[in-house]
Amino acid sequence: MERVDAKTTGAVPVRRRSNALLDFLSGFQSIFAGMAVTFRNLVGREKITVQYPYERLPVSPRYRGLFYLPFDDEADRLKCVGCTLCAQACPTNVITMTKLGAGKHAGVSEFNMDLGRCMFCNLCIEACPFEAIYMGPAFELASFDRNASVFRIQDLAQGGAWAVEHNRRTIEAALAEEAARKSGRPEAGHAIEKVEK
Amino acid sequence: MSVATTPMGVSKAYKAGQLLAGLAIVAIILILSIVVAHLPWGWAQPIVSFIGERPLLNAFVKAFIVANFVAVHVLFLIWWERKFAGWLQARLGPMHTGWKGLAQTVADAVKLLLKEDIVPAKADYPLFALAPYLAFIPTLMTFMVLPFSLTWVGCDYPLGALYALAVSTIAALGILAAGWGGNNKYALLGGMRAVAQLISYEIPMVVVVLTVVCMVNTMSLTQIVTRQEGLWNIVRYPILIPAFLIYLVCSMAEVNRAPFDLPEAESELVSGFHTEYSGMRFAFFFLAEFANNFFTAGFAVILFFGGWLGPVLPGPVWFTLKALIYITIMMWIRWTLPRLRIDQMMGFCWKLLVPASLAVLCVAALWAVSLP
Repeated sequence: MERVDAKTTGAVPVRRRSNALLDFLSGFQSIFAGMAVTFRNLVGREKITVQYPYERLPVSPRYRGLFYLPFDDEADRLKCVGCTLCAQACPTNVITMTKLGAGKHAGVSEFNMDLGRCMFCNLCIEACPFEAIYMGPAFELASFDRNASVFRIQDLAQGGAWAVEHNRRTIEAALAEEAARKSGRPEAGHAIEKVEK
Repeated sequence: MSVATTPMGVSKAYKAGQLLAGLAIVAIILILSIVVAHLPWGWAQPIVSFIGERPLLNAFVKAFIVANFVAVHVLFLIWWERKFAGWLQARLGPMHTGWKGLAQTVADAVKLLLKEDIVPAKADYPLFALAPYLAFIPTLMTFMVLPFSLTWVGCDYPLGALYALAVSTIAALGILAAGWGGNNKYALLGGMRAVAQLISYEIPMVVVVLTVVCMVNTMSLTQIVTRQEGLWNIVRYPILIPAFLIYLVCSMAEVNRAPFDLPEAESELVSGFHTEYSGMRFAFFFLAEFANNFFTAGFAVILFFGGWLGPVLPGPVWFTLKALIYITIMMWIRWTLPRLRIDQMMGFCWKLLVPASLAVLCVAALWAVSLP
């Protein structure tokens, strides 16, 4: 086996594998090196398997999972005003909604999302000026029923049916108040506001 | 909105408890084996002699026991292989079916039995149907001379070593038939490779066995073991250390294990000679592979590591334990090394193993002659 000494000549050392015996021995050495690596994995390393249905990894806060409609606790209603900007932004027409009321006290009474068509592209969330739609961490959306991919407002609202009910009541009350004020007794509403202040 | 999550990982105490539980189960099995060995078995003597006096019944009963043992231990070995492979790769292995996934192989076996038996339209049907049994039966036949203890042996044949080697070679025929019968180019390539490999590696293996026979002066497997009383062959005759290394390599090639799994190289040949097989017939190939695995391990234990000899525990338990350790080392090598190229494999056998085994045989023969 010829070797050029790198120290004296400055040349790159050349290793020639012409010797079968040396080849064999170095092969042996590499086998043991490899087996040492697997042995270290066997005894010295934490098992990385996550037993999924029983154990779960934490979901990233930026994960694009199931949508939800945030509930505004102070106003006691969903933040959504039913402006349909998200539905217009959606490339696959996932969102359909029914507006509840109009003007200052607008909201939604129905909000359907067919997630069978959704590609979780985030465009609806970017389009929303009221931060009234978000994506949460839930990702187990598969089902055996095609209709189960359609999510209704009670499935999407933060707080479920309770939130939908509160949303409807608050908005209807506000609308009634508005209607009462417009129908000739604006002072009464005004007076109450002044008293409160 | 929050999704219920359990914290990752478990406490060290829990892990230590699991380890202790595993060790305790192994210890209980071993203690039970000692207890069973020391039970009064005198009442069974009339039954044994009744069977022993009738050659046909005797053969049938022994074959029945061996076949069942093979089937059950293959179930265990497959589970152990998957578990051990998982641990080597920092995974857990099968965990769901049964305790620590112990019943996983049973579930798989049931699935394989229930699956449709697909036969390719242009298959050579007789060969295709026969091949799994041609591959499995020779392996089963070798178990007949494999001594689990002095009395636990199907047939104490004086030429047991020769018989075992001769019979296990027939399996190559079954593999070639499987490769040809399926009418599939990958299967045919796999079958051809298998035969080339099996026949090539048979030679150094036989020479190594001959070396051992040279040193101990007998071909009977039980006598090879009884002559190791007090000291294992590999310790008593250090010339057998290189012989054992050659045997280790050859045995891995004989059972088509990585790094010699060329006959079923997934990335090259789909799955080699059993590409076209499904269901029951595929299960038979699997059975043959793992049974062969146990046989080569047991053979190595008999030739080099004192067979069933050992303190305290009964002979069959010692034998099985040693064979399991050998198999585990084979698995460790399998899950560490990449697959060889076909020319490397053949070159390694013909250029290195054959001359090396012949040299070992020459030295051993000189040693044996010079012995008093």
